[in-house]
Amino acid sequence: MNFNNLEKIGQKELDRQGKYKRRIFCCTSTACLSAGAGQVHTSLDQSVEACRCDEHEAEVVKTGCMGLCSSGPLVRVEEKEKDPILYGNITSELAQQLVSRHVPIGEIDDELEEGDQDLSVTPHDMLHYRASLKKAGKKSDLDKNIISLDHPFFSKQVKVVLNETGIVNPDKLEDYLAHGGYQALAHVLENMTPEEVCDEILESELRGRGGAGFPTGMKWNFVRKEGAEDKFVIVNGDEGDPGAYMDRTVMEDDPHRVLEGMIICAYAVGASAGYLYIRGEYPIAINRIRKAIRDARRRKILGKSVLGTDFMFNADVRIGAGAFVCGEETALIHSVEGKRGMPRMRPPYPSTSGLWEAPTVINNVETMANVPSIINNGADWYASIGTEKSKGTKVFALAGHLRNTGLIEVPMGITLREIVYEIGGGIPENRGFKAAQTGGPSGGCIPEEYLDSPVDYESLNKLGSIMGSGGLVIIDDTTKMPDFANYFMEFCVDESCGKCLPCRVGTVQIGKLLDKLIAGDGSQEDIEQLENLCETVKTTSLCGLGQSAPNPVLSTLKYFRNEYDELVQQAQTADSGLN
Amino acid sequence: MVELTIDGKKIQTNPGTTVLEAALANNIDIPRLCHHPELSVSGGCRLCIVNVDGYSNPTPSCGLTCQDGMAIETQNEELLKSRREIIDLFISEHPLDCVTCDKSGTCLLQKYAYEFDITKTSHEFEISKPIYQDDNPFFIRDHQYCILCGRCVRVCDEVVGAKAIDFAGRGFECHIATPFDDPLKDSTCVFCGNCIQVCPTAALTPVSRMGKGREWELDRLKTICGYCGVGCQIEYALKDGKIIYAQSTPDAPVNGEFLCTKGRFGWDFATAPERLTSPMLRRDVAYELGLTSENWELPQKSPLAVRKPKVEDSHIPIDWDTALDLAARKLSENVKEYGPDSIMGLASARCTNEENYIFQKFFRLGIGTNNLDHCARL
Amino acid sequence: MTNSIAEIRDTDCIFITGSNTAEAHPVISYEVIRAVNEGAHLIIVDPRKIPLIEHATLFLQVKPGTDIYVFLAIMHTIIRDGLADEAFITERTEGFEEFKATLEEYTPERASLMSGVSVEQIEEAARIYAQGKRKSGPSIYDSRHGHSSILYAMGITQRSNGTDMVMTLANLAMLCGQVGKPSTGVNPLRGQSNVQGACDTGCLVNVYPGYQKVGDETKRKTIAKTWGVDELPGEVGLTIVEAMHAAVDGDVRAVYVMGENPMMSDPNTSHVEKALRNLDFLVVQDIFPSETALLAHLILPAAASLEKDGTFTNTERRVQLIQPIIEAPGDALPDWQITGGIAARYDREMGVERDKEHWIFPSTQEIFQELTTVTPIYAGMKHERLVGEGLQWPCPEPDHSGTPILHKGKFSRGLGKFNPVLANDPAEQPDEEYPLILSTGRVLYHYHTGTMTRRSGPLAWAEPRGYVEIHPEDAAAVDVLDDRAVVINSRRGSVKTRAKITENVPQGTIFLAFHWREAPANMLTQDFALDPVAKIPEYKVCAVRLENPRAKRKKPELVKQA
Repeated sequence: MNFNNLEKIGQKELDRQGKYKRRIFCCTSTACLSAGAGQVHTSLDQSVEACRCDEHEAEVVKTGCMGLCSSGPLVRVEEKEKDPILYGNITSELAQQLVSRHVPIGEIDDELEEGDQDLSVTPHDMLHYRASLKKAGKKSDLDKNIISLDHPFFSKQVKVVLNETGIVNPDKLEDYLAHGGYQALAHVLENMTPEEVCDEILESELRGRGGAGFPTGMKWNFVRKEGAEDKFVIVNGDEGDPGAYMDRTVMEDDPHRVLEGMIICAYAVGASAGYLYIRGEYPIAINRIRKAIRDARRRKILGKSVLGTDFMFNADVRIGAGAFVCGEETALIHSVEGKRGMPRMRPPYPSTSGLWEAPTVINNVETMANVPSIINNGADWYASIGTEKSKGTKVFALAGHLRNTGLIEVPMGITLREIVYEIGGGIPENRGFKAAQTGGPSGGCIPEEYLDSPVDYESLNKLGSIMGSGGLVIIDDTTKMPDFANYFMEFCVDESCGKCLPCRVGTVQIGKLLDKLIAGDGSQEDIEQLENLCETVKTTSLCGLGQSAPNPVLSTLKYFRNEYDELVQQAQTADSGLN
Repeated sequence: MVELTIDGKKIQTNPGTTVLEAALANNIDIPRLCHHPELSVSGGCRLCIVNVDGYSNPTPSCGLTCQDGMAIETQNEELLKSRREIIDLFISEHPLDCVTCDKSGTCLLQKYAYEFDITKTSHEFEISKPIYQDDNPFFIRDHQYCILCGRCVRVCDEVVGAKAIDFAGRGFECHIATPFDDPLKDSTCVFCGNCIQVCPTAALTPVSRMGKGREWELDRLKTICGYCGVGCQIEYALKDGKIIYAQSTPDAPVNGEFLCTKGRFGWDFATAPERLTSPMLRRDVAYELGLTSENWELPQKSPLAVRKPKVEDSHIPIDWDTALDLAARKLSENVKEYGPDSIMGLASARCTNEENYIFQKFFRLGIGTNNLDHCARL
Repeated sequence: MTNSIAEIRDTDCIFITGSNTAEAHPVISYEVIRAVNEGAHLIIVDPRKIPLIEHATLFLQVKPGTDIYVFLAIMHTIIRDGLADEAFITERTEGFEEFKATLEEYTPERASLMSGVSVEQIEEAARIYAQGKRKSGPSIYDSRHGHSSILYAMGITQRSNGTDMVMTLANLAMLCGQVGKPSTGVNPLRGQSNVQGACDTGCLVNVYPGYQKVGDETKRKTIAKTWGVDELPGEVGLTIVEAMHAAVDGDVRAVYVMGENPMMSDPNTSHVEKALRNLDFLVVQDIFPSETALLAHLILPAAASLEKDGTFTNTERRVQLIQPIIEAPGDALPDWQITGGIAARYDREMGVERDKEHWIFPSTQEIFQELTTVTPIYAGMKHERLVGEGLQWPCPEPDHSGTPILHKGKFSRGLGKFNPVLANDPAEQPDEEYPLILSTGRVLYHYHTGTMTRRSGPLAWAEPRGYVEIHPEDAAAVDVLDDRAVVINSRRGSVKTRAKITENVPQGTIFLAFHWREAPANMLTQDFALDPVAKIPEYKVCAVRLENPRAKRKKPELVKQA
C-alpha cells in the first residue's frame, strides 16, 4: 500500500488552498458554460490579476455544478471566517465588479504596465469599480445576484453523490485527494476482503440508480461468485432521457468519485478491466473522465498494481454513438463490443454472461458515485437516509414549469410536494400544478392528488411511473396531456432499435392513434385501441425501452382520461356541426 | 435431466434446452417467426411468448432455459390476444399481396395470419421500408415484405461467416442492409443464398423463381450436388419439368439446411445451349468414312486460343449406332496392332460409382490394361 | 476423411492446412465457423490469406513449399515439451523411436528461418493442437485432452512430396493420439462430387475396386472369377501425366476420356495438347464440347448428374443416391449406357464371346449390385439401403451400419506406422529468370475447368473473368496495375490475364485459378516432377515471371525522353 503518498499530496493541496484568504469558485459545468461561464471564468481570473494584490489574497477555482442551473453562471465566494456567498446570473462585467467587491486592491501605478492594454480588465477598471462601489455605500448592483444559501432549494437537499461537485476542481486529482478522495479505496484494499465489500454495499441497501433499482450489493455478489477468469466492470454513462443530466454532471464535476467507485467495485467482484460507456454528446464528461483516468494511472491508482497492492485494474472510455437504447445494459454491452447496439434477451444476465460473454457488473454512474461515501461512512449511515426500502439519496434533474430548476440531490422518501413547492419554489406566474413526470420517456405522469406521496422506487411504481434515472419534469395546467404523451412517444419511435416488433411497429401505431386523437379525428374506439396497444407493447416488448415506452400514454390515460375524452367530444361536436 | 410441466404435461429434458425446444419435441406447437433451430436466439418477434408460473410478464419461450419445476402455459386467452395483436402489427406494415406473392403457401406470416384468422390489420397500414433491391442475378431483396426477424443476419454471421448484412437505421426505418447500403457485390456477401433459405417471407426470393409458379404447383425432387466432394443434398423445385429454384431441407444428411452459391444457384448450366445433344464426329474422320463430302483438317491453332469455339465447325452429328461402332472398332484396331497398353482411359470424378465401375471394368476386363486414371489428383 | 463432417462442429481444435475451405468447400467451412463460434481454436497454416483466416485464432503464414518444416517443428516441439500421447503411441503404433530420431534436427528455430513463421507461433500451434485446447467454453468430450482434427486439401497433396506431406499430417495426429475418436483424425477434403467414388471403384492405375492392389494375385484372381475370366492385368498402369508423355512418344495411341478435361486440368497444357493431337484415336464423352472434346475424333453426349441416377461417394466416404431431376437434352445418355454400349461392341470386334450382361444392365441398381460383389468396403450396401442418409464405408455386411470414424480402436493395418519423413523442397524453385512462385487453385464461384460454372448465369456474373492475385510489391516491380493486363511466363508457356493486386498472397507468390480457358493456369505448371508415390503434379509451386504487356509497346526512345 502506498496510499500515504497520495494522502501527502492531498494534504499538500489542502495546505496550498489554506494559504488563500478567499477562493472564488466558478461553475464550469455544461449548463453554466452554455450560459457563458467560460467568459465569466476568464473575467474573474483577469480581474483578480488586475487587482495587483498579494498572490494569496484570492484564487479563482474552476468547479462543477452548484445545482441551481436556471440561475447560471454561478459563482461562489468563500472567504475565511465568513459565510460563503453565492452569486447567480453572472456576466463577465459583473464578474469584474464581483472581484472588485471582494478582493483588496494592491498598489496600482497610474501608468499602465506593458501588456496591460491587451487585457480585457485593467487595474484602472478595478479602481473605477472600487470607487463606484464606495459611492454607492454598501449597496451594489451585485446584491440582486446573491442567492441565499438558506433557500429551501439548498437546505432541503442532502448531498452524498454531489458532495464535492461545485467544490473541487474536476481536473485536479490533488483537489479530490484534498477532499478525502480515494480514502475509501485505500481502506477497502487494506482492510476489507472482496466479500466484505460486497456485503457492506448489500447492507447499505444501495439500489441501482439507473432506474430499475436492483440491489447493487446483490449484483456485485453474483459476479464475485462467478468463477470466470475474466470479469468486467462497466459504468453506464449513456444517459439518454430528455432533460436528464445527473450522470453527466457527476462525470464532469467529480470524475474521480466515479472512478473510485468503479475501482472499489472491480476489487469487490474480481474484475481486472472496465469501461466507462459515455454518450458521445457529452464531450466535457469524456474529456474529464479521460483526464481522470490518465492522472489516476500516473499516480498508480489504476494499473498493474493499484496503490501498490497486487490488485490490478485498468479502465477505459467507450463513447456511445447516439442511441438511447444503448443505455439498456445488453445493448450497451453489444456497443462496447463494437457491434450494433441492440438489446438481447435476458437471461443470461450480464452478471453471468456479459461483455465478451464474461461475467460483468454494469452500474449506472450515480450508483458508482455512491460507493466511496458508503465505504467512508459505513453502511449504517447510508441506510439511515431514506425510506424502508429505498435508502440513500437520489439526484434529480429538476425541470419544467418551476421557479427554480437545476440539479438536486434529495433523500429518498421526500415528497413530491416538497420538491415542487420548496426546492422548486412552486409554479411561476400563478399557474397551477398539473403533473410531475418522472423517469423520462419511460416514466409516467403523477397528478396533483399524489403530491404527498414519497419519492421512492415502490411508491412511484405504484403510481404507474418509475423512479427512472432522475429526470423530473413539472408540468403546469396550461399543458395538454395528450400532447405531452405524444412528445415522449415520438421520442421512443425515433429511438426504437428495430429488433422487436411491438416496440418497432407498436410505438408507431400508438403515435398514429395519438395524432389522430389530437387532430380531432378520434373516437372512443380509438382510445380503447390505444389502451390495448399500449398494454401489448408494454407486456411483449423485448427490452426496457419498449416495455416502458407506453408509460407516458398509459399514465396520462389513467389520470387525465378526461382530456382524451374531450378530444373525442370535440371531434364529435365538429362532426355534428358539419351536418 | 430437468423436469418441468408445459400445459400440464410433465416433460423431462436435458439441461440447457429451451422451453420452445422442449415443447416442440413434445408436439406442443408454439407460434414463432424469428426462431430458427440452427441459429442463435433472437427473441425479436415476440410470438412465442408463454406464461411462466411466478413471472409477471409473458416471456418468449425461445430464450427461456428449462428449469426444474418450471410450470409453463403456452395457450390461454391472454397469450392468444397478445399473439393476435402481434400478427396484427406485423401486417400493419406488410403488404397482403398473397394473391400474387411467390411465397404464398410457404410464408410463415401468412400461415399465422391464417391460423389467428386475421384478414386485415386493425391499424393504419403503412409500409415502413419500401426498398426494392435487384442488384444481382442471384436473389431479390424486397424489403416491404421483410419482418426484420433477423434470421438472414444471423445465418450470414453465425453459419456462413460472411457478415455481409446487419440491421441498419432505427425504429420504423430499421432495415437489413450491407454497410452503407452498398450493392451486395461490393459487400462481403458470398451469394450462398442461405439467407433466402431461412427467410420466412417473400423478402428474399431467388431471381429464377420470380413469377414462375405457385409453391403448391411445384414438383420437388432431391439429389446430391454435382460440384465439390462434400455431397450436399439439394432439393429442386420444378415447374413443368424445369428447375425453378434450389434449396436444401433440414433432413439433408451432410449439409442440413445450408448450401453454397454453386449448389444453390449453379444448376442452370444443365440447360445451356452448348450442351451436346448427339454424338459428334470430327469432320476429317467423317470425310474418311464418307459421311461428309467436304474434306477438313484439324487446325493447328489450339482450341484454347479460339475465343468462342463452336463444335459444329469441327464436328458433324452422327447417330449413336455409328458412333459406338466406330469407338469400338477404333479401340480394337489399336489393341490388335499395339496391344492393350496402347490404350489409356480417363474415368471421371464427376460420374457415378456405377459408371466408373463399368468404365474400369471395360478397361481391365474388356481391353486388358490398367492404364486407367481420373482427376483425383487435379 | 477418417472422420465425418458432422463431427467438425464439436471439435475443440481445428487445424486447417492447404485448404481454402471457405471457397472450395464452403459448406464444410460453415461447420468450422460454427465450431469456432462455440469456442474452438482454429489454426490455419497456409501461404495465402484465405477468407477463413478471419475466423482463425492462429494463422501461420508460411512461405510456399516450406510448410513441411513447420509441421516437423510442431512435432519436434510436441516431443520436446512432453505433449505427445505416450499411451496411444505405445498401444496403437509402431516405428516411433526411429521416427522420433528424424525429428531432432527440425527445431522450431529452423522452421522459422525457412518458413517465416515465428517460433512462438509454431510452439503455440503445437500446444493447442496436441492438447486440443479451446479458446473458450467447455468441450463436449469427456477426455483428458480436447479433440483436434486436421483438415487438408490439395495444398498438401499437389506437391512433388505430396505423399510425404500427407504422412506427416498422419504422424502428427498419431503422435497426439488425435485419431480414431470423434472430432479428430486426418481429413482430406475432396474436390469433386464423386472423386472418392472414382477411387473406391478402382479408377486408378494401381488398384482394383475397393483398393485391392493390382499386384495382389489372390485378390485379382477373385475379381477375375467374378468377372468370368482366369486372369486380369496385374501390372500398374500409366497415370494421366505419364500417359501424356507416352502419347507424345507414340506408346499410347488411343485415349478414351469420360467426363474429364485434361486440356484444362492437366499440367503443362502445351504438352498435353501435343500428346492428344498425336493420338490415333481420341474419344471424349462429356456434357459440353470441352477444350479436350474439340480435339477428339469422336464426341459422345452424356447426361449430367442432374439427369441420371446412381450413387456418389462424398469426402466422408458416404455413399448417397442421386436421382434424375430433369431430362437429358437431345440424345444425351447416362455414361454407364454409353460405356456399356462401347464395351459390348468392343467384345464383338475382338471376337470375344462374352455374355452381354457383363456390359448392358437394366439399371444402375444391378451395376451397383455387381460392384459390391468385388468391392469389400461396399459389400453390405445396395441402393435400397442408401435411401435417406446413405452409408459410410467400410460397410462389409448387409446389416453393417457403416463407419463414420475410421481407425477406432485399431488401425486398418493393425498398428499405426510412423513413417519418418524428411523435409523436401519444391522441385522448381524461383530463380533470377523466373523469380516468382505460381500457386494454382479455385475461386468460390467456379468449379474445376469451368465447363459448368462458367455457363451458369449467376455464377459467371459474380466472377466473369480470370485474374491473377499479385502482391503489391511484386506488381510494382514490373509496373503492373490493378485490374489491368499482365502476362505470366513460365518455362512451359505464357498466359495473359488481369491483375488483382492484393496482400492476400505473400510477396513472391502469385495465385491463378485454373477455371479460365482464356487464361489457362496449366499452360504454366510443370509436369516433370511428380510425387514419386502418388504421381501427383506439383500444381502448388512452379517458377514464373511477370511481364507488363504495355511495357513492350512503349518505344525505347520515348521512354528515354520521359
